[in-house]
Amino acid sequence: MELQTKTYVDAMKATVGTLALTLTQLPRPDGVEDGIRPDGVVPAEIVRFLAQLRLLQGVPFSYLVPDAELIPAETIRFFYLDRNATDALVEGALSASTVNAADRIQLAELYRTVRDEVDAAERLVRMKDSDAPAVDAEGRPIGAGGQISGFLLRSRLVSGWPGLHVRAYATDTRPDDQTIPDMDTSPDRVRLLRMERLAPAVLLVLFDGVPAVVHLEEPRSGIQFGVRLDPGADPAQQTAVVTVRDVAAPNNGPIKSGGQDVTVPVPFRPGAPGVINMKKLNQDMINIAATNMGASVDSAEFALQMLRFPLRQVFGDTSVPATADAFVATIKIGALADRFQLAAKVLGGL
Amino acid sequence: MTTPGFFELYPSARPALPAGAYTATGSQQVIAQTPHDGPATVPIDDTAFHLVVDAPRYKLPPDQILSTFPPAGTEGDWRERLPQIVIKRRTLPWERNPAPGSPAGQQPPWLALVVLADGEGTLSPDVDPSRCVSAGIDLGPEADVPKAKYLEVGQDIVDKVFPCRDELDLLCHVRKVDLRDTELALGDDDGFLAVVLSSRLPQPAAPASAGAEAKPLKYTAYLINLERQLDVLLPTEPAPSHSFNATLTTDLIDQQLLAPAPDATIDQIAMTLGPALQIQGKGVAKAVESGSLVPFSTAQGIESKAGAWAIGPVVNGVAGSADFQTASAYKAGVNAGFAEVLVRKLRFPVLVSWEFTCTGEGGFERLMNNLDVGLLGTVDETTAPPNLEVAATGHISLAHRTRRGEASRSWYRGPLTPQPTVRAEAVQGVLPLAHTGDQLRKVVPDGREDISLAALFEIGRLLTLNKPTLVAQLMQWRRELFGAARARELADALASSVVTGLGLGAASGRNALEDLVRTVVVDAFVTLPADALGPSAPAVTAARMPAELLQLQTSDVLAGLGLDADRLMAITKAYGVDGLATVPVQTQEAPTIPAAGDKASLLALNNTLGLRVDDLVMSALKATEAPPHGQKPRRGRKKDTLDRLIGEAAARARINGPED
Repeated sequence: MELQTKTYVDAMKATVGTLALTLTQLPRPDGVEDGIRPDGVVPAEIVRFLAQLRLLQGVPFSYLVPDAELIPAETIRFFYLDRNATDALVEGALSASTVNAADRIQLAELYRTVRDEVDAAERLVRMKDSDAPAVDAEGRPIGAGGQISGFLLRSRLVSGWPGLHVRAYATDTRPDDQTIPDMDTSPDRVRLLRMERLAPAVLLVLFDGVPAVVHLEEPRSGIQFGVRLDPGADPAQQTAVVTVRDVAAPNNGPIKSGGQDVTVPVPFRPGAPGVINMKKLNQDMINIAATNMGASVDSAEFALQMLRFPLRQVFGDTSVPATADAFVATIKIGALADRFQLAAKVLGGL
Repeated sequence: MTTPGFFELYPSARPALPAGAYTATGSQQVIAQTPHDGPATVPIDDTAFHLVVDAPRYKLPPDQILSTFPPAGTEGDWRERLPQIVIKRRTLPWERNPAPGSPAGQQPPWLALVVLADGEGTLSPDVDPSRCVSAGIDLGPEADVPKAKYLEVGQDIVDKVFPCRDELDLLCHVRKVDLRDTELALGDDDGFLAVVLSSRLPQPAAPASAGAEAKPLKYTAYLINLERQLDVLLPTEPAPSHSFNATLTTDLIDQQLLAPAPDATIDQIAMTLGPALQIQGKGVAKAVESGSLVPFSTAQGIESKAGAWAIGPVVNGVAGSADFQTASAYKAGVNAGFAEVLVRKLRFPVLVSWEFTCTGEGGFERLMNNLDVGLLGTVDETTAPPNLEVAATGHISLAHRTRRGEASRSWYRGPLTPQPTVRAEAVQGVLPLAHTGDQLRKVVPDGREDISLAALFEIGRLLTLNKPTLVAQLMQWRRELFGAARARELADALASSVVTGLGLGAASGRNALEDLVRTVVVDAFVTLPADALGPSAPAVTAARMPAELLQLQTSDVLAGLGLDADRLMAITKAYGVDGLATVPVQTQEAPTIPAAGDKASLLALNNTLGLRVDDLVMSALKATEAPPHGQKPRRGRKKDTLDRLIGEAAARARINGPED
């Protein structure tokens, strides 16, 4: 009997493995693109909703930011996602499934499993099949997420540049202006759990982790050319400059002189606002010896000088050591009992 | 192949043969060597081959446009960026020669990108190509489209906005990009692209008042054909200045071109009735009804009166004033012959055009650099009171009307906090689960309530109840919770923690007991080694019939059925197999008492079942000791479906069965 039980347990173990594998390989219902596993203890549809709720989908904005003074115009506000708050949302949702005390007992028993399943699912809501590996490039398992952070951006940047790129990295090792060839596949990349415009000028972004550095990049509409207008100039006498590069070594960046970028003032056509005199500008650039442009007209060299790259705004380290939430009042049951006993004594004495 | 992340720039890519009709002539000289007269030339006609090198002329095929900047139809601050169009065919800007006679390799591009604000020119679509060029110009019959578009502008606009002749070369270049760079290559086939730049930086209209925001201004970018019209461009800009007046961006706009059509029907116009009165005079054909469309009066200086009149409220009868009419016509620059002398109109074929709006919102960089960065909960202390009461933890104090109607203040903090929080974990193995929002209300040391979690609980609940499908799914799940719980119980009884996991895993399949049995227990038995549970039957046996049956003779069977073998033989012989139907077989009535009525058997069955279940549980738990002899077997399990079925059958038997 002893031996048979062991055999039986081994068989059961094998079965569990097979079962788990089968569950992951079941076909998805049509139209579902996220990576949420099919039914666990909680049916997949419910997990999906709860996971979306965890990412604050559908939660009225006034519940997220109770006062407009918290995000004035032209601000970016970083935050951590309070797990207790999102758990409260989920508990509220689950409470719709209970009718009587027996249900509640059952649910309370199951709650740990439910929470674990939703923990795992919330990282998969925004994930397509193709990028849902069991382990990522670093071998870190994709499982229950840890701390979630993010930011709220309220600015004309959101309405004016709809294709704004947001990227976050777990390490801040690259120079701010460096080209990152593997910007999307880097193992340091912190995934976005959610990126959504809540209003025309309000952007909500949630990160799967706490990034060390966040990059906001101008949308890349191809390569662009342009000048730098002087923002402080009198509009009636608007001036502009172009920083120049050495065409023999264009990747070295702008030519510096005494620590300052060498610039060329841009000549305009009189009476025609914004129309640049390209010929004169080109000649002015040729006149700077360091550009190595040579005397002949060369539109490639000229274009090189006029290049403007998409701007990348870098937000640095935002990590704060995790501390207990100092605000929440907690009192030990024992202490409470003592107080009651004391009160009873006092009252009894009266 | 270019290095990933890099691109290469080339000044031009000139085709060996520009577009046009060519004739290739083949000639040969044959010299006959005659014996007497010496060599003699044999006359042979030349052979001419006609070939046409085709290239777009009036229309850029849409598949040749890789991208435009600013993107078509967008609105943004493009003040510092030169508009451009990227064309897939790298030779396109040099495929035609707008300046015949220029030395080879130095022909200027025939394409130019001009950016005009609305009202600086007019675009007319669906016109015969021969009419798409200025008067007196003939581009010949070669046309790639039956109908083309043209841009009509005054010479003043050409002089102010169009590129000068010496700039054309600088405005076109070729770019080679890495094909794998999807953002730059965008599906191009060879990675070589032609780029045409505009020399005009789009600017927004000046603000209505000093210090206010600049007004958005709509621009259209036109890619135009300069063939045979190069000489209308300025040869060079004689007196460049290092600044421009950004407040005069609308100065070049002709308000007449922006004017809406008069609010009159065809009939009214024909009969000069009602609103059509104002359009009697040709020169005021497009009267503007209100001044709101005109941010800046273009009627400055000598024509202030006429301009003001043209944009002001229309007064009946004024149209009759010859003075005003002349002045207006002068301003409009149309119709009246007088005005045409002043401003020469030029037409250019438009290969492609797109619109965008330039705003004065401040560039990306400026907005980014001016962003106020902080953690949520950072409040500007300098604003006028009342200031928001914000705790260091991100809680803010909000007015709160309690259920008893008292006005108080409570703390609230949404899910977004300025500092990491510690997630509530299990207390003595039990994860706290709130069932109502009130369970999450807290009183903080200052005596006020913290209703954050309670409020979020409620909104979570409301969001769920908002979705009937979801509620239905939750209800279904709730019903199956019991199945899951029972599966778990069974799993706990069955074996160690591994199997507990199995129980959960199994329950997770469908949350129903039958699925558990089907997918787990049966599968488990299937995967058991052959002799784990006992000797198994051979896979294939010669005969599945018991030996006794094999030895049975036909006569024995017939005798067993109470038939006479000989008689049957006779019948079969006479009537064949059909005859067998006539032979009656004795049958006996089946017992009418249901098995469930047998109370003694039922009890025994029940007890055996109970014992067997206990046995299984014991062995699974490795509990070796049996229950003390003589005691009633311990029933470790609750009643299950089988118990219930047996019980019901027994009850039925008691009601219906015989009194035994």
